[in-house]
Amino acid sequence: MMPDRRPWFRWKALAPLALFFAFVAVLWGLFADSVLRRSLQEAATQVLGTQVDIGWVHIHERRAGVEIGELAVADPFDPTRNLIEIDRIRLVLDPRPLLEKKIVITDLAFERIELFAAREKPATPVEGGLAARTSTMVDQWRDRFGEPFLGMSAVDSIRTLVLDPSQLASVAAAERLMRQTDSLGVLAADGLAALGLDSLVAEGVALAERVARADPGRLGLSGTRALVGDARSVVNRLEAAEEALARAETAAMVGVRMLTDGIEDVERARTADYRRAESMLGLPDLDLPSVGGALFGQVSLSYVQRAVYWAELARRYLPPGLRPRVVPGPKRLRAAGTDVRFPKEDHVPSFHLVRGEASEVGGDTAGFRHRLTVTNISSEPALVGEPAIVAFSRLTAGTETLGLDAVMDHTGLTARDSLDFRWVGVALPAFALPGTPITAQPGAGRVRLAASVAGDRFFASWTLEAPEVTWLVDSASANPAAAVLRRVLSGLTGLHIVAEVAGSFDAIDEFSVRSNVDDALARQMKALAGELLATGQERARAEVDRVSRPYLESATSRAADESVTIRQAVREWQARLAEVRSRLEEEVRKKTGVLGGLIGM
Amino acid sequence: MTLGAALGLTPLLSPHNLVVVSAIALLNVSVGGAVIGMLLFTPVGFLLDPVFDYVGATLLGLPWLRGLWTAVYNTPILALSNFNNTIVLGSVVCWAILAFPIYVASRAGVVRYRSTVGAKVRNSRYYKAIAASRLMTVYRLLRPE
Repeated sequence: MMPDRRPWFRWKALAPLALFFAFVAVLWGLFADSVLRRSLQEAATQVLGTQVDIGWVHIHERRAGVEIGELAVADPFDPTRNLIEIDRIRLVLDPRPLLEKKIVITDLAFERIELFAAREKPATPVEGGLAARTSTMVDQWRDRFGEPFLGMSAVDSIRTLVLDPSQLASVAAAERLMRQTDSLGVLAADGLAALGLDSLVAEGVALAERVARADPGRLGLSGTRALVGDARSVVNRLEAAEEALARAETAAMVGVRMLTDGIEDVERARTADYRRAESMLGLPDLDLPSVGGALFGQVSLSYVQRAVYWAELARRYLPPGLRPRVVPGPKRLRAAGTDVRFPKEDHVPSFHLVRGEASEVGGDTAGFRHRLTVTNISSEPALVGEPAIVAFSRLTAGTETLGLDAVMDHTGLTARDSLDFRWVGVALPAFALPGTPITAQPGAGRVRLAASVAGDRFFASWTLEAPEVTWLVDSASANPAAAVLRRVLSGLTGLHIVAEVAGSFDAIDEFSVRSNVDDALARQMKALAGELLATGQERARAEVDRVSRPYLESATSRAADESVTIRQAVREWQARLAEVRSRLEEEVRKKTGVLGGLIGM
Repeated sequence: MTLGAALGLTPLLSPHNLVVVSAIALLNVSVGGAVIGMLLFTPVGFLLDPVFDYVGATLLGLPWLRGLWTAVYNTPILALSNFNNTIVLGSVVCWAILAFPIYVASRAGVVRYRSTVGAKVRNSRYYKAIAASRLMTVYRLLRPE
């Protein structure tokens, strides 16, 4: 049999294979731009958690460059406008890292930047995206700290209040006290009865009379000795009964003290009932901190939310250290799986924007100048070894009207970020005062947001200064408190708010809001509400007293009476026992004076 | 068929499949068999994706292999292989393990086919129509010699 001599290679297939690769290259030429555009759009939308639109992308294979056109990033917290629009972005890539599937952008240039432009169509929210998650987190803070202005609706009226005994803690306490009183009375009576004092006293009295009537001459020595022995035995029992009575008194006094405490409990319960009844009337709370937080907490948090969003973004995509990182794999028909990145010292990171710069002068009508610098944005900052810096400024007539400086130092194991955002001399957006019919229009003013992050901890402070604030009031509201608020606000020449937030990304520890409105408003509101408050408090107390008084009076008087009765009974028995004992001893002493030596007494 | 199974089991648009396609074209193997292998194993690949993900994640997470993966991830050209993706790595490894059983089974299958229905298929009208078409001319270029 001949061995199989079939050749290993099929050289004539080289031509079809070359044709196949040429076909792949043609496909790349035709579709690479649009595939890259879609991929970039999807990736950016996922990363930022807000809709990102890209008009076109062009790959310059020979120059290792990419051009991106008509980029629009929707505002993560306002779908009706774009955060930023850029007409054209030119990227110059370092070609060598591309062979390692890494992107190093050596130069980045922007053309025409527009901020906060209105969108034609509202942005589609990204479900489960970073913006949505940040909103949920800040909403939780808002629920905890940004209480609505509770007092506003309650100042003009006091609700009617009708209580029944079952609603009052003081009635329950009084009933409890009565039960204690009853059981203590029974216990005390049983305790005294158990001592058998009646029969002992009767026996002592009878014996004393017997001794008094006895004639030692007729009884003889042995009879006298027996009588004296009986007397001595009864005296001993009387002494023992006195000791037992003393112990019973001690126990009874414990019970009496319990009744006294019970009376105090009833009083405390009545005070609590007063407070509860006042709360049922909806009386306003006009503490200063609650005024500031209630009026300006919402708007403060909406600004702080943006700082938290960017800090969270930096935390997620600029991780410190060189440990392998797991990220979702590329989308495809099959399962995406996960990509594991293995950064290595002295190698380039998976993504590195070395430097990007833009300087743009607006037209005659705009009269502004934008300047943007981005440095060292990297997916593995530890490999770059230098902090990422973003600086943006907008100069109008030579003065900065918008400024942002962010430094993200993620080169060490603990990430440290700082952010300083300024917005000066421009029309600040209006905001409603929650729980009131009033909207604030700050007008031209100044907003400053400063935030710092160290590891999981962050601190943010937000300041608003609006020297020419105006207030829009819904005239349909007939709430007199709103009128007071409007009067207070209209008397102010400006608005100044300072909010501070501190905590971790999981839980906020501190949130405070102060404003120049707080003090004046609280004073005026207290004056308006003072009389009403007093009336309300009086009415609440009267209603509590009306319902609880019969129970309380009965319980306290019974408790007091029972205490007295127990004390009196004990004293009486003590006196009777002492009297019988001393009489018996006296009679014995009389009879045994002559024969004492004989009978041994 | 074993090489075709690689195209079916692993994500098609992965760089390593360019090597597999080149191997199918240049090695003296049946392109028809490779196509059948790909068609047969593509649905299997979809079904086994969770297994591939698990295998890939396990391998990429092994501390004693971290040096290897770090080297692969940071080596030019090799980094383009996408072997840092759990599905790609898991499916390639699973294919490598299954390659020999697939080879043995497919070889036995072809022998059985030829001894049973092969002659009947060759004599059918459809086969003769396809054999007479220009498609067959292209196929003959890639047929095992």
